[in-house]
Amino acid sequence: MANALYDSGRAKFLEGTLDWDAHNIKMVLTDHGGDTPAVATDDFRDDISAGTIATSGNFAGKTTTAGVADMDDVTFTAVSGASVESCSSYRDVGTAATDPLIAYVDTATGLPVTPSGGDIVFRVDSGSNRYFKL
Amino acid sequence: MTSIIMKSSYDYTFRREGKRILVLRDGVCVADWPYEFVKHAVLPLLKEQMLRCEELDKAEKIAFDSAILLRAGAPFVLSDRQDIKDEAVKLACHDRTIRLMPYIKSQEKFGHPTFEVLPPKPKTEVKP
Repeated sequence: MANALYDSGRAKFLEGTLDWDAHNIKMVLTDHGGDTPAVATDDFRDDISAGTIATSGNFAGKTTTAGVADMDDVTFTAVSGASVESCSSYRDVGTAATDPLIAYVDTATGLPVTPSGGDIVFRVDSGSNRYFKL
Repeated sequence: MTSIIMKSSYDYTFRREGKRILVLRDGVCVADWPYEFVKHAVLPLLKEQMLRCEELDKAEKIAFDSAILLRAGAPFVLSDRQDIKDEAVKLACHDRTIRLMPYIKSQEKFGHPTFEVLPPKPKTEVKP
């Protein structure tokens, strides 16, 4: 696949139920041996939770200038487990069945990544598209 | 003789006379064509008109399929009729079903992030 927004996530941006600035947004690392996300059909976090290796804290430093979603680098603390092939961001509503998925990334320098027990850092691109651009 | 009686206000009959084909309407001969003429002129014309009739009959579906093509980025539609083309453009722009088709790729752009794995932090020894 390629980096993409989840279809349901795009719809939620248009419907006004996803607010990049105001909502708590987190990221999960996914082992495709446990689950391979499908951006066209997966809509909530429980659809990909079988492959979850680690979950980040809330994103910090989020901005939306010119439709560009940006945030500070994301750190996953002391990660161990199976190799990670992709990561997905989601809005943290409270439970996996109601946390809407937002963006899927499987094309990045360093992927797949093999956890070694140390932190894993997702460094946001410093180019014009940052994390993603609508 | 081969005859076909068509459902209309007239009864049409086709009759072969030697190498000629006659068209009778209510028993009156309205066309008398040589076999070669039918083969090279009448049949192609009939076929074309049949296709035009089918196009009109299925205009709605053709417009919908054309709209899908347009949404997918194809630079052509499935008809040269202006009214069908207009309808296809309208559907491509405004039809909710087509606009939400999952297999049409969205145009968002992504940056190219980097994953960095940091070494595990050394465990701090607790002195007894």
